[in-house]
Amino acid sequence: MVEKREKEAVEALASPNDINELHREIESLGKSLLEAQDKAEENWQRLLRKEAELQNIQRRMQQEIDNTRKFAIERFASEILEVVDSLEQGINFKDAPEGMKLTYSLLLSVLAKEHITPIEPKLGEVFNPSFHEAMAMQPTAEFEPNKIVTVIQKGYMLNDRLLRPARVIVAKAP
Amino acid sequence: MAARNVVIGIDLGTTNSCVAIMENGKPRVIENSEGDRTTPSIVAYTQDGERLVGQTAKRQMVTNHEFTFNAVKRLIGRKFDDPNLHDSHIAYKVVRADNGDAWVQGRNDEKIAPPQISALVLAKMKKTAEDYLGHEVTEAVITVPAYFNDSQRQATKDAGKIAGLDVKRIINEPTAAALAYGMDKKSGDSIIAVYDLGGGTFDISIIEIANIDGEQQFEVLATNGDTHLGGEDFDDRIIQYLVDEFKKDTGADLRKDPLALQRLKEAAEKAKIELSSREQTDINLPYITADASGPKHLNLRLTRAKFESLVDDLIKRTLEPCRTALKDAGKTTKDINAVILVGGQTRMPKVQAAVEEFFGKPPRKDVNPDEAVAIGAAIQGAVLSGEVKDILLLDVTPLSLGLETMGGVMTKLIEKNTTVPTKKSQVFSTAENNQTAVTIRIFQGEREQASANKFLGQFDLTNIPPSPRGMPQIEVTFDIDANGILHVSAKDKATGKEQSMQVKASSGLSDAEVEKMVRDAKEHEQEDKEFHETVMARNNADNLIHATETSLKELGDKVEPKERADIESAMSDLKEVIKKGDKRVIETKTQALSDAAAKMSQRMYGAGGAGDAPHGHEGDGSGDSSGQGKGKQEEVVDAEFEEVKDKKQ
Repeated sequence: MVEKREKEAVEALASPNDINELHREIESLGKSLLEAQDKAEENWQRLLRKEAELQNIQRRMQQEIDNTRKFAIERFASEILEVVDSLEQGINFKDAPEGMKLTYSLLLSVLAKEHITPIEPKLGEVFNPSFHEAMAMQPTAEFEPNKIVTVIQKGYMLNDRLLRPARVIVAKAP
Repeated sequence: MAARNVVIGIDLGTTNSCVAIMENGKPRVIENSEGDRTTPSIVAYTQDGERLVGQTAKRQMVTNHEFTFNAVKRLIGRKFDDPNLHDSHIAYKVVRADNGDAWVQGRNDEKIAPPQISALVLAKMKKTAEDYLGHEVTEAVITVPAYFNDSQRQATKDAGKIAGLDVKRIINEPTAAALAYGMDKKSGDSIIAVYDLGGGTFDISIIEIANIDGEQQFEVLATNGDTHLGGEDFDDRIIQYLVDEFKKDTGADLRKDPLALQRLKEAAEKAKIELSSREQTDINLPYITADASGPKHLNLRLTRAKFESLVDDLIKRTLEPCRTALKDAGKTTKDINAVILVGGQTRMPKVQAAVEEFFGKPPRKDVNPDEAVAIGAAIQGAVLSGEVKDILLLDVTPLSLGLETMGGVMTKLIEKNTTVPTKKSQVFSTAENNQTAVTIRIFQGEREQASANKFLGQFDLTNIPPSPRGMPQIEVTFDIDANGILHVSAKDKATGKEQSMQVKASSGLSDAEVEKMVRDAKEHEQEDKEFHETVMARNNADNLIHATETSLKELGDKVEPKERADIESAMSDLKEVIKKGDKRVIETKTQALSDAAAKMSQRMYGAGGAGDAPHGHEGDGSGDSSGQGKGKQEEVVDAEFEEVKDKKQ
């Protein structure tokens, strides 16, 4: 296609009467060039955007993968807490077999290995909604308001994320 | 280079909020810093002057009823005198603002406008998106109920502004849901029913999607619902049932024990969810309580049928608003083209059945019902930011592309369903010593045996310098361009000599042929697996023989005559069975040779000798890259490559 045009242009030069045709040719080529340049610029911008998006997505994917690794066992951990709760209740009874107590210890150490650690607020500790859930308030003179009166249920952390808050009863002025 | 401005989509719900974005054309809900996909729409002002948002606010609600603001959506944009405003769920004080609006009372007796409260929730959603994206977010689409009036919509927009968001648009929740379900992709007009049964409220909307001037316009024809009917009520029924059964059995009232009640609540919700996919579930709560006689356990079986009977009236309660909405819209169930489900409770089979029975057609439920509204908002956001125009719908290769390697195996270079254009390279080598040319035979398909796939063409790469097998590095590249044309090239990395050919898109297969091939591959999966394993065994045996022969030659006299005889006998045994081809026999004989040559190979290692030590079985994956197809031993004239034309074209 280009060769043909060049040929025409060369032929045109050969006969000076066609100088108008030559001008028209130049104008038309000029327009095509501008269009092509515009299109190229548009495509370039689009490419840059896509590149940037690609890099962003790669970064996010890596973050996802890291998080997935860290919290892969999150669901399982939540479910197993039920079992921990039940065992905990059971070993408190005087007839609880020694083996059951040992099993409970074993369970806790397995959990710790997987970075699942209990949240056991002490009585009188300040209530902190980042780690505790208030189930009820209790009027009492024994503790200052907003301090923990009773721990109903232990909470648990998985790595640095809250798996389940400790469920507590909070003091209020009598 | 700045990223394009992302317009995020926010579902600002009465109980929970959710934020989503479009990521290269695909919607994505974003988890907050606690790892949750939804955030409670609750804000608390603590004694210390702190403002808590989300789960932390929810957790301290009991200690701070007066200044923990939940369900603010019920107030936003309403006047203090609004008759709809009486809500038992609200424990904080609602006060009259100077302009007559309903505001709330703060800790220092100041009046706080509901948009200020909602702004804090929106700010948390904004931050959630920013943390994920890694850059600032300034624009959003926020959803509101279809029945919200101008004042409520403006107030929601104000909330966005306070949170630092330019709210590009406020859209109706049922409309957002319809977008999430791709309802705007259909041509022509349609009437959609949106059945939204969430945690605390039920909404039914009838919307019309009309094609006006080439654009899809959404119009809400009618809405109705029940502002106090939701999933939590379903949970309560189970809890009540458990409490009653336990009282019958043991006389104890579990409601009096806060820990027992908490465990019951969790167990009830879990059971409800399980019954959506199972016919029955066991509710097992050991040591739920204790009395004078010792510990007590709760162990009950709940069947789906029983659960359905417990909540039957709740489900029926949703149908009357549906009737009214249809009437108000001037439509009958026959006019409804599609029904879509929103809200977690719609996962219950009985709910879906009731909806199907009422509307006379099965509802669409393929979008996550908890997230549909946020996703729809994100889609709208992407349209407004122009991102959607920029998404190119690219093709994928329907079938895998690869070449034939040693043993007649199909070695795939480009997996099926890879988006094109794409390019993949892999290094191959020769199969025989002194092989000076390789033939690249290109195939398309999923079968393990290359010849079972569609042959696309072949060419030779010649003048490879003579060397031991496995030494030359031939880089083969498969490159599909934007027009669907496949370019295959082979380059000898040592000499730089390269040969290539082109396969046109049309020389592939028709859609029907593709489907047939995919089906065939599945049917022959077992057969193909065995074929693959047999070839692997053969190749391993071959490698071992070659390496052993090399070692024998190099060690020469160092190998005792008896040892040499044993090894050679094992080797000839193995050569025999390779031809016959039973995988297990080959493996046994390979092991025999390996054992016989063991002492010798130890000596090789000990002497620090050069060359390959014989090795046994390679893992399935690693064997693939070595070995190359048919080889020509002698000098080869530069071969022409030929393209095989599909007879069917």
